[in-house]
Formats: sequence, C-alpha cells, structure tokens
Amino acid sequence: MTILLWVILLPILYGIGVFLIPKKVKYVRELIAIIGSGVSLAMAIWLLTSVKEASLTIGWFNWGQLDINFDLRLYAFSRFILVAAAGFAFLVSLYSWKPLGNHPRANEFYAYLLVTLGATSGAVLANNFVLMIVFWETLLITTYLFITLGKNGAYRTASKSLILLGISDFVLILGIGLLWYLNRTMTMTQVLPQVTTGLAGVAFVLMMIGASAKAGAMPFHTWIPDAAVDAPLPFMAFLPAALEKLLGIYLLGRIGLDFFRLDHSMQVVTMTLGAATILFPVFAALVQKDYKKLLSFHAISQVGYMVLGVGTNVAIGVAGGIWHMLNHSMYKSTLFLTGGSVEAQAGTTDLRQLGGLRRAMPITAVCAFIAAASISGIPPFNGYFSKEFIYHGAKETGLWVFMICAMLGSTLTLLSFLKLTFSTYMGPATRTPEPRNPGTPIREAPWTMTVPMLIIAAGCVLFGVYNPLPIGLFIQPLISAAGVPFEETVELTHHAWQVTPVTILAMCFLLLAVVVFILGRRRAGAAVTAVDFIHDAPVMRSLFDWSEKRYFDLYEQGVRFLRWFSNIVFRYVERISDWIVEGIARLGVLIGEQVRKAHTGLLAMYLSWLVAGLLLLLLLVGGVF
Amino acid sequence: MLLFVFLPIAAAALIPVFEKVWKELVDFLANAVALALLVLALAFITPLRYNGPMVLNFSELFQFSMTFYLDSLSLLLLLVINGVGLMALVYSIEYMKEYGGKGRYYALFLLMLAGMNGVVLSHDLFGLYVFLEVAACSSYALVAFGMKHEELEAAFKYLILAAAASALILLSIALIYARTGNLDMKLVSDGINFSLYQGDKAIVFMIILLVAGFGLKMAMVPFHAWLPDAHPSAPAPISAMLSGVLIKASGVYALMRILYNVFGISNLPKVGFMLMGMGILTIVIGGILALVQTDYKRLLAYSSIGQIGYILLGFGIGTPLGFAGALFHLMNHAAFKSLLFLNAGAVQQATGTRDLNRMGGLAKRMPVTALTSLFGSLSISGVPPFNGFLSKLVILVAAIQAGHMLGNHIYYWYAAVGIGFSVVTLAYFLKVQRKAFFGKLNETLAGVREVKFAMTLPMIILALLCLALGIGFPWLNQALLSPAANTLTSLFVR
Repeated sequence: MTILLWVILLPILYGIGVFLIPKKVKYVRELIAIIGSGVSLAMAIWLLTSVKEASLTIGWFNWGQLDINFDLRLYAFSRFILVAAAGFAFLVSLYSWKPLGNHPRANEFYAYLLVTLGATSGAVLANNFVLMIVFWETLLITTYLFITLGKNGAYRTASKSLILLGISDFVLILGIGLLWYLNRTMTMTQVLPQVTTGLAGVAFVLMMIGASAKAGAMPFHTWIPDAAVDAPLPFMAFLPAALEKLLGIYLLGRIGLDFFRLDHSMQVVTMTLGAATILFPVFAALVQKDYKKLLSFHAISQVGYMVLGVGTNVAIGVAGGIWHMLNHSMYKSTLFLTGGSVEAQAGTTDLRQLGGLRRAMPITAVCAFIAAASISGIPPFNGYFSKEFIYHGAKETGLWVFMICAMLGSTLTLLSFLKLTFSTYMGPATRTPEPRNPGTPIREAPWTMTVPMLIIAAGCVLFGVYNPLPIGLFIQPLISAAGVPFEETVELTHHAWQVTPVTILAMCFLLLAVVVFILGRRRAGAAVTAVDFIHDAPVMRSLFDWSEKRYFDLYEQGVRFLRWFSNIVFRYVERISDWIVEGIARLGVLIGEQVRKAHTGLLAMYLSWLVAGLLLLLLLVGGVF
Repeated sequence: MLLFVFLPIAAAALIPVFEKVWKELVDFLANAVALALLVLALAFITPLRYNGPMVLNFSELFQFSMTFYLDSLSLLLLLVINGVGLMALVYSIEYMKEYGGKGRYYALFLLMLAGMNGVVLSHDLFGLYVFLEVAACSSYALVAFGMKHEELEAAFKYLILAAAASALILLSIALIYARTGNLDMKLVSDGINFSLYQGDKAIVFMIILLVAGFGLKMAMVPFHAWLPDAHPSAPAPISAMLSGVLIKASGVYALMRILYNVFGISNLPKVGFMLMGMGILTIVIGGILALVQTDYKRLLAYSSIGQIGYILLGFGIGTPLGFAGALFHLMNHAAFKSLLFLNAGAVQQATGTRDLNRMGGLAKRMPVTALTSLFGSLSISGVPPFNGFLSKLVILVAAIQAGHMLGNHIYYWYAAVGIGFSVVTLAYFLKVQRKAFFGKLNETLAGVREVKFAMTLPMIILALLCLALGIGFPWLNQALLSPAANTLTSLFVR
C-alpha cells in the first residue's frame, strides 16, 4: 500500500518546500504548512477508518540474519497515532500563525514541523527496527533546530537536548542490538515476546529507558524545563507535549506488549521509574513562578503515569497508560497553547505579574480550566478516566505503594494547577499586567490561536464524557492486537464509569489538594504564593535549592565532570601525542620532498626509468620463473 | 555496435567543416554525439544480460581479421567512457571558449572517444593497437592544445614516453603473432593455452613487455612520470578525460583483458603477485607525492596515480571479488576524478591560478564548485556513503579473504598499506579543500564569481552520481559489476 509511503513522504516534501520558500514571501509558508498537515490529517483519518490494516515492504539489505528493509505496517496501534500526530501538527500550524508572524526564521519553523510530522509517521509505521531508529533520530535533529529558533542563548538548551536525547537514543540502539541478538531479526512482526530475565531483561531495561526518555521521563528530562523558557512556544505544544509522548509511549507500549513479557522484577523496576517520574517533577512544579516552566515539569510528571501504567503488565493498566498518552497530549498541548496565548496577548508568563485575565481572555481561561481539570484527574474529563485505569492496574499488581504514589502525584498536580489557574485567571482585575502596547487593553487572542485551543479542549471533554469513543476506536483494538483475551477488553468500557473503593480513595486525595490550597491561600494571601509553604519546609528547602542549582541535573553534572576530565587529558595526554603526530608529519613531508626532487622533469631521466623498470620486471618476474 | 567507433569518427571529420558554417552547431553536434553514444551504451545493458556477448566479424574486409566483441566488461567500460565523455563535452562548451579553435578541439575529442570505444570493443590485437594509437595521438594533441610552453613541453614528454610504450606493446604483439600465427584474441588464447607453448619463457617476456607498455599508459610506478606533467597542463575537460578514462581504457582495460582473458592467470600466478606489488608501490609513491604538492591539478594527477594503484591491487588479487572491487573502483575513480578535475578547471578559470597557496575561502564565491568538490573529495577518500568507500572496502576485503584462503600474510600487509594510504588520501584532499575553498577569502580573489551553468551542470551530475553509485551499490553490483568481473575469471569462450 504505497499510501503509507506518502503519509511519510508528503510532509517531508512539504517541509523541504517550505524551507526553500524565500523569507520575504509572507503567507505562503503558513498556508502550505496548514494545508499540508491538513492533508496528512485527512489521509490519517482515512487510514484509521477505512483501511485499518496495511503494509508495504521494499527490500534493501538482507545479509544473513541482518535484515534492514523499508518495511511499513499499519495496524491498530500505529493508525491512531498517525491521526493524533497529524491532528496536532494541523492545529499547531494554525496556532503558530500569530506567535511566529514576524520571526525572521519562520519558514524554518514550519519546515521542521512538517518534517517532524513525516518522521513521526515513519517511526510509528516502521516495522523494521533500523528504519524506526532512522526516523527516531531525525526527530533529534528537528528538536535541536526547533529550539535554536527561540531566544538568543537557546542554542545551549538545544545542545543539551541533543546530548540528552542522543544518549538515550544510544541506549535504545544498544537495547535494539541486544534484542536482535536474542531474536535474530530486525523485523518487528517477527519478534517473539521474551520473558525479561537475564539478557532479555537487560535489553528490556535499555529499550525502556530509551523509549521513556524520549517521552521525557527521568533522568533524561532536564532539557524540557530549559526549553520551555528558551524555545518558541508552539514548539513546546507540539513536541514535548504531544509528539514525543506519542512516540515514546508507543514504543514503550510495544516493548511491554509485543517484544517482551515482563516478569515480576522488571515490573517493579518500570513501576518505580514511573512513580519517581511522577513525584519528583511535580514537587518542582509546585514552586515555579513561570507559567511555561510549571507546565513543562508537569509534562515530565505525567509521563510517569504512562510508564507506570505500562509497567503494571495488567490489561487495564497498560490500556490506561496508553490512553493517558493520548489524553495527556491533548490537555498538555492545550495548556501550552493557553500559555502561548497569554504570552502573546499579555506579554509575560510570570505568574507574579499575571492575574484576573478571565475577563479579558475568557476563551483562553475556559480552555485552561478544562485542561487543568483533565490533567488533575477530575471527572468527567478524560484525564480522570485514564488515571482511574492506571490506579486499578496498579492495585491489581498488588503493589499498593505505587497506587498511593500515583494518587499523591494527582494531589500535587491539582495543587499546582489550582495555583496556576487561580493566579492567572481569577482574582481581581486590577492585577492585570501592562499589555504589550500600553494604552490598549488586553484582548482575547485571535481566532487562529483560540480555535485550536477550543478544539482540543472540546476533545478533552468529549473523550471524557463519551469515553466509549476513544476506548473503542483507539485502545481496544490495540490491546486486542497484543493478544489480550476479548472479555478483558470489553470490560474496559464498562469499567470506566464504575465507582470502586479505588475511585473513592482517589477523590479523597483530590479533595485533600483543594483543602491544602484554600488553607495555603488564606495564609499567604495570594494564589501565587499559596503553596510556597512547601518550598519553605525544613528539608524541602535544601532539596529545592540544590535542584535550582542543578545538582540533580544529570546533564549539568556530566558537563562539569567532562570539563575537569578534559583538562587532565589535555595536560598529560594531549601534549605528548601532539609531539608524536607532528613528528610523523614532519617525517612524511621530508620523505615526500626527497621523492619530489627525484622527478626532475627531464625526459631522458623518465625514459631511463622506463627502461630500468622494464629490466627490473624482467629480472624479478622472468628470472624467478 | 559499430556506431560506437564510427559515429564519433564521422562526426570528428565533419565538425571542422561545420565550424566554418555555423559556430554554435559544433557544440551541439559534439554533445549530441556523446549523448547518443551514452544512450546506446545504456541500451545494451539488458540485451547483454539475456543474450550474452556479441561478436561482429570483418574477416573479409581486411587482410588481418578485425573482430568486435561486446561483453559485460566492455559494456562497463563503454558506459564509463561515454558517460564521462559526455560530461566533459558539456563542460567544454563553456570552458573552451577562452582557448578558441573549438572545431579542432571537438574533432580531436571525438577521435579520442572513438579510439577508446574501439579499444574496449576490439577482439583482436591489431584492432586494439590501432585504436589505442588513435586515442593516444589525439590525446597528445589535446594535451598541447593551449600551445604555451608548459603544455608543449608536457605534450612532448608524454608523446615520447608513450611512443616508447607503444613500441614495447607492438613488439609484444609481434612476438605473439610469431608464436601463435594469429591476432584474434580467442585464437591466440587457444594457441597459448592449449598447445605446447605453456610455460615458455618467451611468454613471460611478452607479458612483461605488455605490462611495461600498458603500465606506462596507465601510469603505474615507475612508468608514471609523464602524467604529472601532462594532466595539469591540459585543458580541464581533457585532464578529466585523461585521468578519468584514458588511462583506464587504454591502460588498465587493455592489460587486464589480455592478461586474464588471453593468457589466463591460472597459468601465471607470479603475474598476480607482480601486479599487486606494483599496485602497492604505486599507491605509496602516488600518495607520498600528492601530499607535498602545491599545484591543484598536479596534486590531482598524483592522486590518480595512487588510485590506479588500488585498481591494480584489486586486479592482482585475482579473485572475482577482487575484480569486482577493482572494476567498481575504476568506475568510481572515473566519476570522482573527472569531477575533481572539472572543479580544478572551474577554479582555474575563475581565479586564474592553480597554486593552492594563493587561493582561499572560495566556498563563499563559488558554492556549487565547493560543494561538488567536497563530494568528490569525500568520495575519493573513502567516506561512506559515497562510492569510494565501498570500492576500497571491497578491494581490501578481497585482499584479506585471499590472504586467509592462501594462508599468505603478505596480503594482510597489502591491505594495511591500502587502508593507511586511504588516510593519506583523505589528508591531502582535506588540504586541498582547506586551502582552496575554506578559510578566509584571499584579497586578490575578491572579484571571483561562480562559473557558468554549462560548467556547473556536469559537476553537479557527477557529484550526484558519486552519491548514487555509493547508495545503489547492491543494484549496481548485480546489474553490471558481477557480470563484468566474472568475464575476467576465465579465458575466452565464444
């Protein structure tokens, strides 16, 4: 089915086209991006509803057991990610019209966006590990390039993202190499699930780290908060919020369902990673004073839920984790879009300066509240249902501590979002900051920005209230495709609205958050500082300070170590090898000069060489005969 | 099949006439002929696969029979010759404007093409020699085309040395005729192999004469000395043709055809060792000399000598893999060396100098030339995914395989030298790139501009070809290289 090839190629071609359009031509590139991603979206929807299953294979390299082919496969899991990726691309390109209107490198932005869409489609459609890695790596490059479009010092963050993601990708490649060693094939559909003991366990851990790091789990997450500040905002809404989650958790889901059978110890490892990723960033989010940075920490935290869900190895838990990926993409991108809307209209994202924007920007406020409710897990929005599935899955493994961690995470999430929304949108109107053009009041963002927000927020509501739609359309088929018996999958839909002891417990945790917030606000006086008491608590204060100084940042510590190490190497190793190398070079040039002088240019000399060579050959070769 | 030879000859004869009538026509005509030849060569690929080699016999026309023979090896060379020829001709449209006398230039060029086509199609030694001389004579004139001191001196040296080589070849052919009473390659092969002449010392003498003679034509060390003078002073498209095609068609192809298909290497294992030894010597000397050059084109000329060494090494190994590697490297070298010479010509035309020390920072002014030059440099240094990497890899793997099979450690040393001098190749090409294109723009070159499209188009096509040959190696191997390599593994069967 060559349409699969077009799904990948078309956005890339559009992207290259946009890149080549001269900078002066104003609206063509935005239109190409919007229409191009719209076309991709239409194709993806068609594939989702009509085609359902397809494959395309172009053989390239088959040497023994190493098969590297251009092998694409459309099935339950990949088709809905195609739709999601294209949908986000479409909405974000529409959204970016205003924020990037006057950016000098705007055509690069749209080009990278389209190429990212093509590469993401390629990565999820790929049925061959090597092919998938090629597309996966393309995203490294586009992420780097995207971030460099931001503020002036953004290239440092871009390098940080490149190195962190590069290391995690390397880990992933190692894991894939081990998997090949165990299975002797690079084609995904031919891999038999292995129990994760011994070597398979190592492969599982490597691949899991690689996949979840792409999604933004710890410990490779530290570039995301930096990018939130440095990179252009539509990038944040597009990649870290949406596409990276789609890709990373897609791979994680496949690792858990198709490539490996988790045994108990790996279950615990994965769930621990998930729980840690839930809790630590959400503490950091509590004390943030910047809208975008707060959101970025939550992006990291929510990945923990997804990893936890997949790690439970129970149908409902895995389904929850994967559904959470979709839901999270939706509400997190909405949140980032509202942040961008605030930034564009009010000029700042500093929470201390914002306030009372619900009157001036009602649509933005409504979308933000809906998305905040979803992310905190309040019924009947979509986040609640996927979190419910994850809690039930965690409970069924018998390891209650993880379920408690997840619920605690929800509490803190709700707490920080109460802080965010109340300090930005509620409160007296007198706290509205200076708008961009003094004298004109703050107005709602233009339709190109509000329509995408509304569409996704409406989706949050729709997928929550009418949850048989996403479950039936997206989740059930892929769980069935992984071999789970039919009865368990049917149970999913019924489960959604049930109220069980777990549900009640979760509601208690959420209520706790509300209480803490109200008390905190009364004590501190404003919503912004409502949760600062956590920051000032005895042990926490030191932890937070160290975190601010980046002691826990893997990348920063790595950089510091490398600086020290390279100093040592320079002093003791480099100087000596320089001396050796230069010596060899001098020797080579000396020899060369001597040989060169032998070529005098005299014809007679050359003729004599001819005769001499002839005689030599006769002697050496002829004589020995 | 005859068109390959006679079409260019006819055009060559007609072009000076046409030049008097209408100047622009000659450009068009020459390029049309080259394009037609290339298309013709391409058209032969599939019929050859299905039908096998084709023969055309003219025994009744001449006193000595003249036979033409097209098999996959010849076809490979035909594609290379006519492809590079077309590129050089397109390039010449613009480049030769400063020389003038385009009619004579095209006539000589087409004669050279006809000669080379004839060499690879020839199935009898007389025809081979005749076409060899045709190509050589036109190349002497073309080297001297600029009519200045440097060109004339170089052409003179080239003429004398090549004439000596041709004399050696002629002597060898005469001895072969005396021995076997035939000149047709098949019959000679039968005569030498299936009769009492096996193991005759005279055979060895003939082979060495041929090696010396063709060795000079292909610039094997120690017969290489004419090349660094001739190639730089010739006009750039001619340098491209000489370095990329002539030394291969008239030198390497002819020697290999005769040695492997006529004499049969299985009778003469020592010859293989000799070829490998000469190959290594050529690689080393070529590499060392290229390192210390400051003249752009002279450096490229020495680099050609070095790369011919790799091809010789591949042929000397004697296994089908070695042949495939050598043939692939032959094809690749034609592609990237001609590209590099065209680049050098562009730079020379734009800046007026060939001295690397006076250049600098040209990448900003001549982006297309710089980029294609980068492609060419990376290809010749053996950087994946370009073609040079694969061909060198195959040759080295063949050497190691052969060493492993025969248990002879010298092969491993050869492979090591090959790898080492690949690094040296990278070194001097980086030097070229750095001195000519990167770095700061030399003040004296401030007014330099990119050359015209007619010159950049062949460069771009060749650069893309380098990449395509690298990536498309599996298909290429199946379609062209393996059949060609296999023809050398046995004597003629007709």
